[in-house]
Amino acid sequence: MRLRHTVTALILSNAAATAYGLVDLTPSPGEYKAAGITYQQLVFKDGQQNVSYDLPHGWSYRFDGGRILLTPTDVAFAEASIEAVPLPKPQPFDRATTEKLSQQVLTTLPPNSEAITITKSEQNPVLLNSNLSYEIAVSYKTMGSVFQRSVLFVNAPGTQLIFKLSARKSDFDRLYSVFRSSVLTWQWVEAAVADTGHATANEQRAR
Amino acid sequence: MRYYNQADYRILIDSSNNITITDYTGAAITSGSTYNQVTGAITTNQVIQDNREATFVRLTTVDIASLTSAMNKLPAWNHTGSGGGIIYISDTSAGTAINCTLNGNTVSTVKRGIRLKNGATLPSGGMTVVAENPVYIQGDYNTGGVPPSDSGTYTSPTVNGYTRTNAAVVGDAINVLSGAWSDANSDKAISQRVATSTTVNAALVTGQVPSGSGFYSGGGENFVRFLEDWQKNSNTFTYYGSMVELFNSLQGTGKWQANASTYKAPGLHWYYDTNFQSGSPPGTLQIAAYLQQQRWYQVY
Repeated sequence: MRLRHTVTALILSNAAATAYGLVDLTPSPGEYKAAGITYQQLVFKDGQQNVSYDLPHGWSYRFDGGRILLTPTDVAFAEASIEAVPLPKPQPFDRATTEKLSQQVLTTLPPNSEAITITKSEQNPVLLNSNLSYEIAVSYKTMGSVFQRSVLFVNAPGTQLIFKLSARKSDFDRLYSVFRSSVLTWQWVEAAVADTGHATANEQRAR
Repeated sequence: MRYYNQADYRILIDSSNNITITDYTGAAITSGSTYNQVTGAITTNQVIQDNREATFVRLTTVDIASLTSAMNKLPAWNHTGSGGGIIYISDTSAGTAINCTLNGNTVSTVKRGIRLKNGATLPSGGMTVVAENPVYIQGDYNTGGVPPSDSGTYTSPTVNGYTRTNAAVVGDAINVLSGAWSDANSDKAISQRVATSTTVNAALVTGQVPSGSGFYSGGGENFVRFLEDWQKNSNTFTYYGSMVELFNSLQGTGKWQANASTYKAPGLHWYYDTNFQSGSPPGTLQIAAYLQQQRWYQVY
């Protein structure tokens, strides 16, 4: 009996390990309609699963260097990005890790940035499918303007997702709200479900 | 007179989840059977992820069934002699960051909400619940049980033998969670937040997030806010009541969005409750105005 449990556990463990991998951010664009509004959606591969993500309304995107770059069409000097980096083993957001992530955020600020201040350092501002997260926000001055940047790290199985938003301070709060809402549209779905996503959209149109 | 002053009982929750109860005279109730019965119906410090608000919300849950069974034993209940009563309940710590636990994970939130649960049967004289926070009505409300309207007979919003009472819910925002709602699944994909058909029989008085700056309020059909997939299995939301929108929400300020990860709209079967032509929920809703400035403001 014990051997059977062990074998079952190994099989389940293996299934869990192969269900997720490094999220491939090569996007498959699509759209669906809900309540009369057309939503632009990107679908990514994650092992045997897919990920669906709704673009912020009115924002454009491009796939560049393995990242998704997002740009609000009506605001200058603002950009968001989504990156996926390998996470070979589960990583808690302990002090050592968060200090490392803080340094990572600071070192990727534009060169010659001034008045750099970490304005937020928060555990789990969101849970994406119960995956833990950590957010670091910084304020900095460059090109004569004060900017703000939020970097949200989400540790998913096999992948650390990095959602980053940078904008002038005067634009930041509004864009932050829009981008954060879009982050919450990040959903893991069975590949078969995602493959029929357009059919679902058509069904919605027919309603 | 403000609802706060009309209420039979006022229940205030602070950031540390301490519950303060006063009756309509302002007398504090700090111990004894009344205190135990009221606090026994309240569970504090629960948390959900609200995708419309794009953050977590700390909830105080009122078990209406538990409260209702105690109502007639409570000395201040029905103090006006109208047969029903008013409960004013608020978490006064909105805006203060508080750590909560969701699925074993520590999360922080400044948002608060009041959840009304097990509200199928209300006191026979009627009940008005007033909150300064967003309200989450979970499951059938004022239906007497699972009504025929939940299985397609939309003109039968109560179980046989139950007479729906004059009820009202007043809050900063009104969310309806179906009877199938699970807090633990609130941070998961919409596929794990599948609703079940639900009926609410109550007047609703609340606020909105207005259209503007490229956002749409959602219109009248989104007066009530949802967080689940109601389309799978063609679930419906049946409503008998009267909807009153008086102000812009101050706490439930998440903008309406119909994306598939926030909610998938139910089939809506809404009816004005003609019972309100012969009676009204406990309490008097008043609107005050600064005449000189021609500005309206809300009165709880």
